[in-house]
Formats: sequence, C-alpha cells, structure tokens
Amino acid sequence: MAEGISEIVATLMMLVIVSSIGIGLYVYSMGYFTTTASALGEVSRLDVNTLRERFAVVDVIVRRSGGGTEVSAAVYNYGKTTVTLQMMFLNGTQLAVSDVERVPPGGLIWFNGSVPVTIPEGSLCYLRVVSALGNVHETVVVS
Amino acid sequence: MLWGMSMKQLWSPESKRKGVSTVIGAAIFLLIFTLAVSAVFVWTQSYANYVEAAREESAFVVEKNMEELMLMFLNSSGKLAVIARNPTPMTIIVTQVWSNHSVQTGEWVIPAKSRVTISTTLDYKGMILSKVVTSRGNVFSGTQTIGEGEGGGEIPEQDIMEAGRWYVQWYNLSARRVFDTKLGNSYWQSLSITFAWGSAANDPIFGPYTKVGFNATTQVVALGTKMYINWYVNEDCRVIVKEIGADTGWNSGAGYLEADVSPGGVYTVTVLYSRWTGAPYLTLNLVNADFLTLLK
Repeated sequence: MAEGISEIVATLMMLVIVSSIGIGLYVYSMGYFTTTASALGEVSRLDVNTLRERFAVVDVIVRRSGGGTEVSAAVYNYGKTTVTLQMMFLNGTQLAVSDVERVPPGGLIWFNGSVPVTIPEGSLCYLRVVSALGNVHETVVVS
Repeated sequence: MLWGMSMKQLWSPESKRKGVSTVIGAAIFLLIFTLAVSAVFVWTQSYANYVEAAREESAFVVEKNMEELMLMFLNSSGKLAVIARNPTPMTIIVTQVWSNHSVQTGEWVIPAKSRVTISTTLDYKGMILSKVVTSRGNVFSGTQTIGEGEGGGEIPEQDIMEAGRWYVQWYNLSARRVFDTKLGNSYWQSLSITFAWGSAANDPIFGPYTKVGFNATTQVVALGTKMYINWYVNEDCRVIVKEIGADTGWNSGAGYLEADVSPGGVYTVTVLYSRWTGAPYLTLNLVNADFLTLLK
C-alpha cells in the first residue's frame, strides 16, 4: 500500500514539475517570440516607410540679416506618405529650425532655418534637408 | 480497454507513466513550435512587404529618370507662359511652375510626344529664374540645346525647327516653280533673311545649278496678336503659315502677309522660293515673332 501511494505521489510530483517547467518555458517562449515578431514588424514598417518617403527641395531663398543667415527651402513631397522634416544643414553646419514641419503627400511647404553666420553673397553652398526617417535631399545653392 | 484495467495496472511504470510525460512534452513542444512558426510567418510577411516596397521604389526611380521636358519660357504680356514638349513615351504631369521665388501650383498634363502651352499668372522674371516641377519630383529649367541628333543620326526636322532655325531644302527646278531634284540642305538662323546672287541668268547659285529653288520651314512663337511677314523678291516666293491656313500664293516684288495669331501660339512658317532666269534675290522679315527655341 505504502509503495502504491509513493508511486502516485511521485507521479503527481513529476506531473507538477514537468507542467511547471513546460508552462514556464511556454510563457518565456511566447514573450520572446511575440517581442521578436513585433520588433521585426516595426523595423520592417520603418524600412518600408523610409523607402516610400520622397521629397525634393525645389527652391531656396537665402537672406542675410543681423549677422546671421536665414535659409528657406521649398520642399515638395512627391510621395504617398507624409514627410516629417527634422533638420537642415548648410555646408555641414546644422541650422536652427523653427519647427518640425510635416509635408502631406503632394504638398509644398517652406522649411525655414537660420545660422548665426553671415554667408557671403554669391558663394556656393550645399543645403541638406533631413527627414525624421533619415532620408536626405541635398541641393546646391548660390547664396 | 482503459476501464478494464486494474488500479495496479493503471499506475504501473510500464503502462502509463511514460505516456503521460510524452503527452505533456508533446503538447508543450507543439505550443512552442506553433509560436516559433507564427513568429517566422510574421517576419516573412514583413520581409515580403519590404521587398514589394523596394520593387515599387525601383520602378518609380526608373520612371522618374525617364522623364524629360523641352521647355520654352515666354513673356506673355508680362506674365510667364511655358511651352513644354514631352519627347518621352509616357505622360508627364507638371505640378508647379516657378518664376523667381513665386510658384503657381496646378496640374498640367503633357501627354506622350506632345506639346502643351502653360499660361500662368506669375510675373515673367526671365528664363534663368523660371522652372517647372513634375509630379515625379523632377525639376526642369533652361539650358539650351540646339541640333541634338537622336542616336547620332540625321537630325529630325522637328528638332531642327525647334532649335531655332530654318530648315532649308534646296531643289533643282525642271520648270519655273517646279521643284524637281533635291540638291541638299542648309540651316538659317535668322528671321530676317537676305538672299541675293549674281544677276546673270547663267550665274550658278547652288554648285553648278542656276535654276534652283528652296523650301524653308521653321516654327515661330507669336509675340502679339498680329504677325507680319514681309518680302521683297524678284522671282518668285510664296509664304505659308500652316496653323492658320494662310497661303500667299506665288509673288514677285514687295509684299507682306498679315496673320492674326494668338500671343504665345506656335506657328509653322514655310517659304518657297523659285529662281528661274531673273536676278536672284529675296529679302524676308518676320515681325512679332521669335524662333521656337525649346530648352531642356
């Protein structure tokens, strides 16, 4: 009889231990795979959005005022997704932009920035506009 | 079968202990396997979306690079007008016209292999400061190209005319005003032409030929509501403006054609000249017109 009870207890204990380990492994796997799939999906979505983002600088105005230079770039979004403009660089120097601009598909906006340096008139400048997704459009400007 | 077993048989190590752990193990394995497969499926789907987006982007870049426009920026009563010719086999949509730093947005469709005149409300600020932007993000402005042949072969007549020149084809005459054998081509670059030669009937004009004629054609842009073509000729000339159906017939002496035209309109002007035995001279002058010089 005692032998029979220990058999049952041993079996039950084994079931509990195996089930616990199994459930633990399952929960961990579920978390891992869910997180991985979600991260991969997010990366892929970002990559796709980055690919689909299209914009161009179609006109630039350079003004000198009070020891500084103000730059206005007309940015045209010719893609199908909204473009968020984040930064602007003039000859590698980051310009202070007034605000982050969002350009709807087919839209045209003036993206403004300034730098506390006077750019000599007639000099050749490289203007680079950067979107929030990291896409870049560079154009040559004669100030 | 199971119900028929005794308690001892049910719990015996040989019969069930092994089976229970196998079932639980298999179930857990199946669950984890399903999760792994789901994750792989989600990742594969994301990757497929990315590849599709990359393919679309690649096709778009090819189309964008194929876009080409030949442009002429005109001063139409102080306002900017653009004549755009699309030499490509695909439709191009112009979405913006710029004059200096002012823009007019819209949607001007330029079908394949065709020409469209875009009238704007922008002030004309000169050719250099004018440009157009297409729906595919290309910006076109003016650098002049003249006489650019396709594939290095003979320059098409249309391109010659659009490059701001007369396309002149010379003929030997078999009778007065009867153009017989083509002798050659030349290109004139002025809308004010003076052609004169030795007055003797046997003075050669084209190589050894003395009885010659030419057919000169060009395309012009009207700069006003009336375009005048004046001539002074001994024998004989004829002026045709194709778009308005004007034909002066053969003339000698001094004369003119007054053509009612639209400012900015494009007109094809043909001048026929025939010299038989008289003194060969022709003076021709076009007023209120300029060569159609398309830029790209």
